[in-house]
Amino acid sequence: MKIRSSTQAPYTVRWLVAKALGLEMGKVEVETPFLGGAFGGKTPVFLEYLAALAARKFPGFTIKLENSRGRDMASSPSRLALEAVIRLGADVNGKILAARMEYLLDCGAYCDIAPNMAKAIAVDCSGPYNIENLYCDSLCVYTNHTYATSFRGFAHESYTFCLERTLDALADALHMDKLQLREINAIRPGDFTPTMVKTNASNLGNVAACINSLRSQLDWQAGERVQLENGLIRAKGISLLWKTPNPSLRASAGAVLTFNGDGSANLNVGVVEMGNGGKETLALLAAQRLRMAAGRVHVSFSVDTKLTPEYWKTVASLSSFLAGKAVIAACDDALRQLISQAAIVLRCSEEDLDYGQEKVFFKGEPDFCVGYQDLVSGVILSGGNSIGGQIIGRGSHVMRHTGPLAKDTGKGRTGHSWTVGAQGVEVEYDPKDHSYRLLRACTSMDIGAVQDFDAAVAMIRGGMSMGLSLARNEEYIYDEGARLLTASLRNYELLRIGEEPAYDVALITTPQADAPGGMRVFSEHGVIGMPAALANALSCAAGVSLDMLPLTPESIWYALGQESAL
Amino acid sequence: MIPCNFDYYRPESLQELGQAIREAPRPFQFLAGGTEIVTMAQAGEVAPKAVIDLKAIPACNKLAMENGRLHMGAALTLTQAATSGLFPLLGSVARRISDHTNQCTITLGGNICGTIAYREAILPLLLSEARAGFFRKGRVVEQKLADCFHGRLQREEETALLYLCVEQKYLSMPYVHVKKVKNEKIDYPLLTLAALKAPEGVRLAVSGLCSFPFLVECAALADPSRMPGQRAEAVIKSLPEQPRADSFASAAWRAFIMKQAVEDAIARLEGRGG
Repeated sequence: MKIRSSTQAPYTVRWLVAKALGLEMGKVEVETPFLGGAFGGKTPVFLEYLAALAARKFPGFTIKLENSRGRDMASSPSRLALEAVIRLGADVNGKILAARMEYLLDCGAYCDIAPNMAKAIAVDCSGPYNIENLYCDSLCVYTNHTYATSFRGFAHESYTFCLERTLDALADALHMDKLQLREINAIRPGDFTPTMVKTNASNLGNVAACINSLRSQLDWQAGERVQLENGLIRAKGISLLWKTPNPSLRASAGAVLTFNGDGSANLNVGVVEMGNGGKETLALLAAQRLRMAAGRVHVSFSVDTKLTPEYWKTVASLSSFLAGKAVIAACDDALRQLISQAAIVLRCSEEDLDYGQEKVFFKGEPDFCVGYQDLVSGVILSGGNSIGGQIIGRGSHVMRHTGPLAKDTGKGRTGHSWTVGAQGVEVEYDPKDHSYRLLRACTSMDIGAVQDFDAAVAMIRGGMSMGLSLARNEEYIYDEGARLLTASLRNYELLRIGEEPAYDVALITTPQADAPGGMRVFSEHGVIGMPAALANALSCAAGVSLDMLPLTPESIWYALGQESAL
Repeated sequence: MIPCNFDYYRPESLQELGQAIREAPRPFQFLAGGTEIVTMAQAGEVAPKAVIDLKAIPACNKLAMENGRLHMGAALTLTQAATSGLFPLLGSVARRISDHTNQCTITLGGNICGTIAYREAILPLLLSEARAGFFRKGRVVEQKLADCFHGRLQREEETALLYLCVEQKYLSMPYVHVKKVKNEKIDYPLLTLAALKAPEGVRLAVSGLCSFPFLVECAALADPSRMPGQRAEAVIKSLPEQPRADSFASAAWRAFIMKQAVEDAIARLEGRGG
C-alpha cells in the first residue's frame, strides 16, 4: 500500500494505517511532499484511513480523497477551546505564594491529541514564574464540537492567556507595575518547574534578560496608558511565555549521510519540510559539523518512509534538536570513517589528522592531504588495489531522561529544555465605538545560539501574527443545535496584511549546552504570549476586564455593559 | 470549474440584445462582471442554459453628463464609477465594497441585481432619487428607482437593467459615508450608512443593518430643531424590521452602532461640533 499524504507525521500514518488494516508495516509506504504549511493541523491521521480502505477494496486503482475548505473546517480536527479558573495568592510585595488552577480543555467529539495538550498545560501551568505552592487540575472534556488537535503553541497560547490575564488582575489589586510583578516572580536557574524539574541556565535560558529587553522595546517607562487629544487611547499590554516539548516516550530520530563522487554530501532524514526551513537548518548543521560549505550538503524536501530512517513526527518545534542530534551523530560517524580511510592513504595514525574544506589533512601540514572526493567511494592505492568502501554515516537519537508524570504528584520530566520569552502589544483604542488598531507588537526571546538571524526573526514574527489573528478575529461559532456557522473563510476571519502592527523581535542568546549548535527550539513560540498581551493592552485601554476571546469591538462593548450592570 | 454547458451571447447593440433575449434557451442570466455567476455556477448553485453578456452594449457602458443628468451604464465597474470622480458619494461607497481587485470586476448593475443582499451601491442612488433605464420587451423604459426597488430590484427575468441616471444637483450635495465592520477593513458590512444633506434636510440610506438595504423614512430625521441623539433614537424606532443577528454581530450591537453612526452623520452634515 503506497500512501501519499499531506502530513507532518508520515511514520505515524504508516504505523496506524498498517495497524488498522492489519497490514505488515513493511508493506506500507508513505510519501510526503514539501508541504505548504501545517502548524500542527496535519498531525492527526484520519483521511488516510478512509482512502486506504477504499484502495484496499479496489486494488490497482489510485484513490484520492480531498476535503473542501468548508468540510475541512467543520470536520477535520481543529484548534482547541479552553476555560480556566485561576486563583493566585501573593504577599504585599507582589511575591506569589500560592496558586490553584483548573483548566478545562474542550476536546470536541473525539480524542486525538487533546489529552496530551491537557498534560502539556499542567507541565507548564505556572508560566515562567517560580510558584512554590501550586495545585493544578487540567482536564480534557468531550463535547459535541469539532474535535481538537495540536495547533502552533500546543495549548500554551490558550492557557497563557488565562494565566497572564490573572497576573494583570493581581498587579491591579496590588497597585503594582505589571512588568515589575513579572520580574519579581520570574523563574531563575535553580528554581523548580511545576513537575519538579530543576532548572539551570542551559535548560531554561534567561527570563530576566527577556523582560529587560521588552521593557526597552515597548518604552515601558514612558507609561502604560495615555489618552490622546483626539479622544483615542493608547495602551500597552505584556505577557511572558515559556514552553517545554511533550514528545512521546518513543520519539526517536535517525539520519543517514551519503556522499557523491565530487565530495558533496546527501543528508537523509525524515523531517517533513513545511515552509519552516527545517530541512535547511539540518543541512546547515551538517555542513558546519563536516566543515563543508553550506551548499555542499544536499537535502531532499520530500520524505519516503521506505527510504528514510524514521523521524518521530515533525511537531513540537523539536526537529532542530531531536533530528539535529541524529544528524550530528551521523556526521561524526562519517568523519570517523573519513579519517580512518585517510590514515591509510596518508600512512599515519588517525590522531595526526584534522579535516576541513572537504579534505582530511596532516595536522600542521595542510598540503599533505586527501580530498573527500577521493575517499568517499573507497580508495584506489598506488598499486591499483581498492580498499575501504563507501562512506556512509549513520546516527540516531532519543530524548534522554524524559518519562511519564507520577500519578499521585505529577512529578516528572517530559522535555529536554524550556524556551522563554517576553512579549508586548501596543494598541490605539476608540472608546466611542470600541474599535482599535494594532500599533506594535514586540518579542524578546532567548533562542540560544543563532544560526540564521533573519530566518529566526521571520519565524517569530509569523507566530506573533498568528497569535494576534487568533485573539482579534478568530472564532468558531455554533448555533443552538451545535451546528458550525463559521465553516468558511468568509465568516471565519483572519488578520490581513494592512491590519498588522509594526513587529519588533529581539533575540537573547544564552546557549543550551546539550543542543546542536547551542540552539534552543523556538519555531512555534512567537504565538504563545500574543493573545494575552493583546487582551492585557485592551483591558487597560478600555478599563474593563476582557477575559474572553476574540477581542472584537462588540465583545469590549458587551464587557463594559456587563460591568456597568453589576 | 463550471460543471455545466451554456450558450454565450454577446450583443453589441440594443437590437442584438433583443434578438438574444428572444433566442436564448431558458433559463438564461444576464452577465456583467460575472463574479456571482461564476462563483455560484462553480458551486453548483445555478446552472443557466445561456448567458447574455451586457458588457459590449454602448448604453451599458456610458459614463457622461447629459442634459443635466449623470448617466451611468449598468456594466460600469465599481472602480470605473469611483475613479471618474463624477459622483463622489457613489465613489466612496464603491471603494468599500469587497476589495479593490473585485471592485475592478463587480459592476453597478451586478451589485444591485445580484443575490448577495447588501447591494451597497444602491444607497447613493436611492438618496439621489435616481432613475433606472430598463430594456423591457424590446424597448427602453425609464422608471424612478425608488418605485421599483423594495429591498431588491423588482425586475422581470427577461428585463435587463441598462443604466442609472442621477440629476446633477445631487452630485455636489454634502454627504457622509461610513462602513462599520466586525473587525477587519475588508468585510461584509455590519452597517453601511450613506447620508446626503438635501435642501429639505438630511436623508439617510442603510445597508447591512436589516436583511435588505433601505431609505430611512422618519419625519424626525430632517427636523433641525431636535438634537442629533433624539433624531437617531427616532430613526431606530422607524426601522422596517429588527436589526439582523448573525455570526458577525448581535442585533443589539448593530442597533448601538447604527444609533452612533446616525448621530455622527447628522452632526457632521449640519456642522455641529463632535
